[in-house]
Amino acid sequence: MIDSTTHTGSSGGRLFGKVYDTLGIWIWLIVFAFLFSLLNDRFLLFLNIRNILRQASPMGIMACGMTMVIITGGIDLSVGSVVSMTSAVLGVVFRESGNMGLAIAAGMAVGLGGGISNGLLVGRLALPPFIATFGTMSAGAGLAYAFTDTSIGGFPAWFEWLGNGMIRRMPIPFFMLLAVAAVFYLILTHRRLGRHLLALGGNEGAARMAGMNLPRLKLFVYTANGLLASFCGVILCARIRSSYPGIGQDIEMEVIAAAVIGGASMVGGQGRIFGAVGGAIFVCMIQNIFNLLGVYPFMQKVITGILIAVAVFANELRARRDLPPGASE
Amino acid sequence: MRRFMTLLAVALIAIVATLHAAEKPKVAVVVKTLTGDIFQLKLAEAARDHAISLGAEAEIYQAGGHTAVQKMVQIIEDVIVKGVDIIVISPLDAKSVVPAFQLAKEEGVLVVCMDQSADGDDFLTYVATDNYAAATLAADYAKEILGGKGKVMIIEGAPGSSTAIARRDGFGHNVVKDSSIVIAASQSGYWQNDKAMEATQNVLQANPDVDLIFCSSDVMVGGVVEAVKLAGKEGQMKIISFDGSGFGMNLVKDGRITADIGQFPIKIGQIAVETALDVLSGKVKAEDVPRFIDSGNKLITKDNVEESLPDAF
Amino acid sequence: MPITLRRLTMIKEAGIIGWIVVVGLLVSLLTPAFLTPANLLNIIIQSSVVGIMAIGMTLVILTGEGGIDLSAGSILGISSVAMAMAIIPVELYRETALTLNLPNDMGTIVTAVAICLVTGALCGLVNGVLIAFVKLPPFIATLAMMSAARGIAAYISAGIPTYGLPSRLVWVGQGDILGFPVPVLLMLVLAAVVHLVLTRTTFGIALFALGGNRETARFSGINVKAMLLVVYTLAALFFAIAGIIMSARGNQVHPDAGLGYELYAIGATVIGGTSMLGGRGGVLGAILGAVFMAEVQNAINLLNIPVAYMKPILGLLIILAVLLDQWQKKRSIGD
Repeated sequence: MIDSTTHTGSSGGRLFGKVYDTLGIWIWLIVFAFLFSLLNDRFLLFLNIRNILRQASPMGIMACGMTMVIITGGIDLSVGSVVSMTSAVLGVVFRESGNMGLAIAAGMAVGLGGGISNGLLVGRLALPPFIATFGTMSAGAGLAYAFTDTSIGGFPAWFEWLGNGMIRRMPIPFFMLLAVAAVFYLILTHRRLGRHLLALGGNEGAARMAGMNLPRLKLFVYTANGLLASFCGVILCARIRSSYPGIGQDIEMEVIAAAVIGGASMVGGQGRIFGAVGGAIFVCMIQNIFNLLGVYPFMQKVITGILIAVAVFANELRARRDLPPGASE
Repeated sequence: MRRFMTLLAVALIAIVATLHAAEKPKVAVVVKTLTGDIFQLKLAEAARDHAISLGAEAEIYQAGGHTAVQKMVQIIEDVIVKGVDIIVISPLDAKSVVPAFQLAKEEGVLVVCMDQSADGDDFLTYVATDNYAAATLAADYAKEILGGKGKVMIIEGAPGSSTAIARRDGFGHNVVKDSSIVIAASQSGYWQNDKAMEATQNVLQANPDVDLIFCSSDVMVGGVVEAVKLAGKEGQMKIISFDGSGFGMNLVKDGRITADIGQFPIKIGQIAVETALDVLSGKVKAEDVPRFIDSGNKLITKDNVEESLPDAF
Repeated sequence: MPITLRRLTMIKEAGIIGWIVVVGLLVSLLTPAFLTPANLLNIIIQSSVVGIMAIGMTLVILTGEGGIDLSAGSILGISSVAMAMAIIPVELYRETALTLNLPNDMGTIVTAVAICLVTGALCGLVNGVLIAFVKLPPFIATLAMMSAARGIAAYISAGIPTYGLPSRLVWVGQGDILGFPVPVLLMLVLAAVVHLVLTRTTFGIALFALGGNRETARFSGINVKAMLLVVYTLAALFFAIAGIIMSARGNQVHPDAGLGYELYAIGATVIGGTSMLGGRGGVLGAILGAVFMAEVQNAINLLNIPVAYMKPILGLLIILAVLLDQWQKKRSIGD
């Protein structure tokens, strides 16, 4: 990815290739934002952009974690269930104790526990990530309803502020997203840990030969991802000022799509944190323009499907150019 | 010159049209899902069509599932930015929409709940069937036809749905009250026909002597009927369904189910939109609107199914 | 004795058979309603839809390199809706008030079934093209199809479910031949055919080779792109067949039919011993996996356990089953 544009002919093309490689999904975001603003005059209003950013923030945070998982060649299907279960546990603990701080801590413990289980199943017991997290996904989705099958409310006002509040007219979850993305960006680009993760995803056998502690790396990645999912569960509860045991249903697919749209490669070894953030904004932006335009719901699904395929295809083009000319497809 | 005049005319028409459009009140109709759930579909279509016939602009939005609370919140936020004047909504849940309703109130958007209410007082009114009361009606009828004794089973809606809980409890709590009826099983059909069919088949394996099945919705009753037929109990086992859709009523008419609890989504949608538009235009004062408007319910049996069919949705 | 036991554990499907027996024994201790011929037949009939989907899913997963079909449930939905549209006259389609008593016109039924299969195959072909030629990861390509096909199914049916299919079509789901239920026979025949194809034909060998190591497969002259195209199309064909059975069994076509069933199909396939990495597994295990899942669902209904516990139990069992499978594999290598 460092300099892979040697076969792009002219210097103009090279420059374009470089810019394209650096910005990735963000170029598409700008192109689509421009197109959407032609379709609806409210799309580019500050109010609407703020809206999109607030909605995209939880998904963006999860997409950062998912990107780390995908970089190691794994996948985590359980994030939606972790969100649901965090919500259920947070609600029940609050109802029983009346202590919001304790409730948040208990909710976060779900992500910690779920993440560690995933990490151990994948790392120590060498289960394929798809299976391990498929199992924990089923378990979590059901257990959330076992905890409580109704929503729980009555949370204090300051809790809602975490999700719907603003600092300098920008939504609080957006600042959380920036902080999380910055931390993971630094880990991935400037720390040994990041290099190890990329190496692990690039070639697991070689990474093991190089003496890396693979189970521990995987444990770290899945635990971090579980914690982030739980954190988003808390934010989503704050957004609705209540807890709801089905709130995370099907979220995992959107998060994975966001990470992959952002440039994470499903075979591992490649991924971009700020790309994932862009991917999350992209997914929310599509939904937003549908709502502004009042597109009939059935067509929304069709168009969303096509746009996901197109966005990933656009990124794959870049990835394919990264291959040295000798390597066949 | 002629071309210029044409252009001018077109431009004028466009300007007039925009001005005119700007005067029209904008209505967003938000429901849980439009696929396979005739109740929600007819509710949404009735609200939209009635709004348009009253001179408003209206569009339908769906959260897209019975647990998609955060999608529903996003829709509310987005249509507020879009600049709608009225949101008529069938909330997925009473609590999750409260902050979004507050936002709507701050922005001066009128909210009317349909079918499911919400906590707080940031909405104008709530138009619905009282699900618990309507299920009680089913329980009373069940006691009557069973002579106060026997075994019943309940096919519930999806876990977590407050409508499902109200119907389950309305029937379950009241059918055992002052009777020697026992509830053999209460299992979820997930608002899905095939799931309801499998659950019924399985429960009937353990309890072949069930006398009556209460099915929480017409969207699942087809599966229940098939399961009972395949078990060879058609005609012996009584079935009470809930909704009063054309499908359910025709099953009553054909004698394949015993009764159906009718509710009136088309009426709900129309009342909701009309009330909101009246308040918006100043015809009615907001404080004069009652907090709850009962759209009614009705026990439909073979005796009154013919006269009820025109009200079916 | 220990030798026969060991030989038993060497059978590929031993693990899943063991699970079915263990859970069966446990449940029959708890309720007498479980171990009756009628109930066992009931379980097998209920497993047929997921079982047939799992056959298709097995083919896809065997291709390896992340081969998966998330659009399975949506393809089931769109093909059954297409079938219903071909049977039910347009002017009646929105008349949900009618319990349609449609005539048993064989011509219409055959056309409708053909349309159903073609619709499914087309969706599969698009998946195959996106994966083999556009080179999208299977997860993404089929995720896109999952959304799009569901949207189209809802769009063409206007969201309305229809009840009351011609009785000859319903026979496919509810009827029996000499006492054997048609859906079960169909599942067994399809499984047998695919099993033979996988184990006895060059196509089967090529498929396992593809999943084992795609580069090696390519160098040994296997047309990888054509294989992927065929496999995803075939798989979708199985999902469409499952759609016919589901519709016929419930005597209803629903635009949300098969919602979430891709996960059941993947679960059944994996419990049945097919490796997510590709190149290892088979359809017999997948069928048994589907039977096992129906057994768990049946047990939960029989024992009147709150539904919330169904998914956790399944999740736990999936993890345990795969762990056991790995352990068994290690042992057989150790020998």
